[in-house]
Amino acid sequence: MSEPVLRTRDLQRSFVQGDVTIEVLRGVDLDVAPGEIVALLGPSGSGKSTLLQAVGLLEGGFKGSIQLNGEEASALDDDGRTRLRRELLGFVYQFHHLLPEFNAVENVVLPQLVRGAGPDAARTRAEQLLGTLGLAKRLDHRPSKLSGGEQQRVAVARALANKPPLVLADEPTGNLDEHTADIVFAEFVKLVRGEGCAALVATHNERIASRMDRVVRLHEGRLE
Amino acid sequence: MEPERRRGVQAPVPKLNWTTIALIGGLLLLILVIAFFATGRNADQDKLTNGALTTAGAPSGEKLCASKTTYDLIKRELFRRAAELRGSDQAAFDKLSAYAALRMENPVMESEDNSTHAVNCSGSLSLDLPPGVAAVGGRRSLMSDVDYVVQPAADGSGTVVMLRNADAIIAPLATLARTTTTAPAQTPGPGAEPVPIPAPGPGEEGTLAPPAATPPSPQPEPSARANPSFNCANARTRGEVAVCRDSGLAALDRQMAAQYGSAMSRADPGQRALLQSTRSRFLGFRDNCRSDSCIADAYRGRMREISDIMAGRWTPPR
Repeated sequence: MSEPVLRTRDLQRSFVQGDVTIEVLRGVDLDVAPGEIVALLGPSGSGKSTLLQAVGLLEGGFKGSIQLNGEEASALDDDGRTRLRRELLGFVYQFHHLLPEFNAVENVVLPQLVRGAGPDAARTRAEQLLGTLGLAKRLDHRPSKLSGGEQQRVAVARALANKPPLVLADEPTGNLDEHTADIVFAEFVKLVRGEGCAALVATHNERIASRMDRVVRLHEGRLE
Repeated sequence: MEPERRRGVQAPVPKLNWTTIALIGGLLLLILVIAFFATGRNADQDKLTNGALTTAGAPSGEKLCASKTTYDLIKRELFRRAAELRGSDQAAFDKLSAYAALRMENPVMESEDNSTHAVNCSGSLSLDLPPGVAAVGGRRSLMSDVDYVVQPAADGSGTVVMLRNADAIIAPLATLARTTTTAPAQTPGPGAEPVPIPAPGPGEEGTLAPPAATPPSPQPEPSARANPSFNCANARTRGEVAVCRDSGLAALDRQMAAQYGSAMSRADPGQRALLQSTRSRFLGFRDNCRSDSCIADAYRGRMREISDIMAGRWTPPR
């Protein structure tokens, strides 16, 4: 079996509020294999987003081990964490977080340029991804001119632009109506599979979770 | 006699009483009105004076939010984080930051932490990139609303700034690339230090800015060949000599001269007079500069001034 793209061991996170310490993650052990799409299921407040923040190397304050493509990330400095995020991870959030001053294709071109791609190649790739997601006629539209579903499709294309080994998605369709959410999520899964990426998708929606390769449940800070 | 005396004494009394009462009443009313307004104005003036004294007495939070030092720190932090995101070219980004111009519209102090002396600020930030480089989509200017915290450094070495919500600037800034040069003469000479920002490949200009000036060589090299808009053989003033020694300043000079020429060609008589009358002040300011960054700021300020004059929003400097 190939090395997991993500491996956490005894991952812990607690928050102190006054005299009270809240243990959100109490030792999470999780493996995600290359190309595997894993649903992280749990009710609101169960720590799904905290876990994604940890494995996305977006916040400090965690205990335990996080390995991305075999590299131990927990001991890295800012530069090292930024490098791993740039090279290994793509992110999709509940809210699209697209850059408002840039149009759809530019939002997808941007992470590729940061990664060192040439402008022409980056644009070609962006147009191909947006075309696959049905946005070929929306390339030059700024986010404010796109519908919610279209905005989230652009966010999906942006996350996959560099073909990251692992995509982290936090309620990626949670901001959409049910019908649109179904469509966008199906496109997301199709694209992730097509690109050969792995994904860890936080959701509280059992129906959406059932469409993924595996479901892990977060309960009282531990995976079941 | 008696009646006359009585008349003489008594007759004027009713008249005097009536007039006196009216006069005294009027005077009293006038005094009251004056006293009321005078007292009211003084109260307001006291408030303003106290506020002004407070502001002048110590660097207030508002001043920290809007100080040039804070803006310089923000600019350096933006370029540092962009280079970190890019994973390369940190040195080049450091140099480029010296040539970029940062403007903050409506800087506001949101709160102040008395225990740490941290001041939380927000504002609308615009970052104008130096000539010769552009971000994704050929953009030369990046804008976003940002939050920032200004506080004394823990080691007492000065002030530190922490940025929040600045990804809309940092991410595109990390895509900086050279724009193509227009003429061989604008290529830095053999002594010039190259800026390792990737140039677009053949046929890749489409997504970048149209050809602009040469990328600046932010650390002046006396041997670098600079080509400003004027003949360096005639350079006499301190500002002219500095511009002729530095290709980055020379690029700013060419850009400003092109903008000035274009503006003059389409200016109405009033605008033309303003463009000409403000020119000598700019030259005087530039020639009094003691550093290259001061000269670069002067050029960028002049270019904004030309834009403002042409847009009809120019106001005389105070």
